[in-house]
Amino acid sequence: MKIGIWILILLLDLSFVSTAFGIDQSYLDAAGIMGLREEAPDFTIASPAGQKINLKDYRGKVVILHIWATWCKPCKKELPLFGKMYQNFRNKDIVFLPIAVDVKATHEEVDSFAKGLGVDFPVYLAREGNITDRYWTWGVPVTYFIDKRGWIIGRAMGPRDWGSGSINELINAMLEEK
Amino acid sequence: MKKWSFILLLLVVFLMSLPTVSSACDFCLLSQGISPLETLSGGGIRVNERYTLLNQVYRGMEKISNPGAKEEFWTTEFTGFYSITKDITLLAVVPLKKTSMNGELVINEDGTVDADPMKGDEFGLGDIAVLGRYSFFKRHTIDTTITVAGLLGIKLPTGKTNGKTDDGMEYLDSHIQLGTGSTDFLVGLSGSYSIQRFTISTNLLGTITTEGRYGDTKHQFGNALNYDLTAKYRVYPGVLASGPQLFLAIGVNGELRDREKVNGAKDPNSGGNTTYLSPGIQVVVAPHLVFELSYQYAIYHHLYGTQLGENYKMSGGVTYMF
Repeated sequence: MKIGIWILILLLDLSFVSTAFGIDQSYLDAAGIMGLREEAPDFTIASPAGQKINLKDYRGKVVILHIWATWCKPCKKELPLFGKMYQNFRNKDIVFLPIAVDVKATHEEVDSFAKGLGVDFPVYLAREGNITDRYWTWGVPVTYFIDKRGWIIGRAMGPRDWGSGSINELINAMLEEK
Repeated sequence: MKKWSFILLLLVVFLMSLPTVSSACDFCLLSQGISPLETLSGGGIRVNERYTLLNQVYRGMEKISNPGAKEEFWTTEFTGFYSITKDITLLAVVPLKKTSMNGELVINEDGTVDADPMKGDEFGLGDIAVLGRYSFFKRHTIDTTITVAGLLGIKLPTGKTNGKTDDGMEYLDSHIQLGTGSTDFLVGLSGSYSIQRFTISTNLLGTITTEGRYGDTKHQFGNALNYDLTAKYRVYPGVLASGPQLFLAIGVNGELRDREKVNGAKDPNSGGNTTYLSPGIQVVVAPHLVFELSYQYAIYHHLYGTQLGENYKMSGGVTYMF
């Protein structure tokens, strides 16, 4: 009887482990994304309309947090590709947060820069909020994949082809998670 | 809590290595001073130039008057590395050496020292080493990275060991020969912890020697343990992007070496421990191109018997990653 209880506890524990950390690692590997297992540090930031939004408000949705800057050359090439991903998933249960870490540019300048690259998603400015610089410790551009529970499950350092099939599969897998 | 436990572990490993110190670990890590995240994947080549001067005499820890002995070493090292998987990297180190002596230290029976006016120098290929490194532990958070790697290697007796003095009368001392004449085995452990702009790394490399020969003498260098603990800070830029990066580093490193054997008998005036303080600078010019300069100042000698000790080493290197 005792053994049965222990097995049940073990199975419950294993089931917790297998679901708590989200999607299969193979999706991350295929997309060349480094796996992380960490609760995303919360922050508040102003939307382009001036409304305060909080990362925790998006619990239950997949969040793609993209850190970039107008002075960063790879970011300039990458932002239009990020726009492709935005177009692919814009009607899904997913939030795109492209946050510029510029310290001098105004919101209008950052917005105008992004529009000049042909992207039509809203952009955010880090200094109009309290996002920790821990997010860009290893540089920009960097993109975090945050699951519905608010956990960072992966990080892409450097520019990527955001329209690629493997990235789409990764995001679809995240969306399918309960 | 885990972060501090790991730092504590690194310090303990380092402190445990202190009684057996030696010189900076050339083979241990290409990741020293280089972003430990993803830069080591793929392949590359590193060229490093090092100058070493020995012209001070030590009896144990005491510095005594030098009667006129001097040794100098210039080493150009070509290191090729290639990652066969994301965790396993193979390395080959090919050294070109120029060695020079001007006056050989002679220890008399009464303990006094003289210098024999022996002169000579050698130039050519040194001992080639082949190594494999396996990163068996990696842990990332958004602003920290921990990596631990093990290393195994073999050093081959490719360097010449029959160099003679300028007058051609005698073989040069074993240290002045281009190679050791022996096949030696290398085993190492390295770890690094990065948090934001700060990285601390530690390396231990043991050398297990076998018997070789120089001239007509059987000779075996003592087993050695090299150690290194280096802290590095990214001074520029504050926010990392595709541009150049500047790092400043400070390290403590050294070598502990056992006594040598000459024709089977231990040489009492060999082996010991030298510890260096090593400031350095590193510039990442482009993502694939890294320059480094470092200076190793010998701050502590504990040499067995009486020996010529190292004053300092200077080195500069460039690494290109494909």
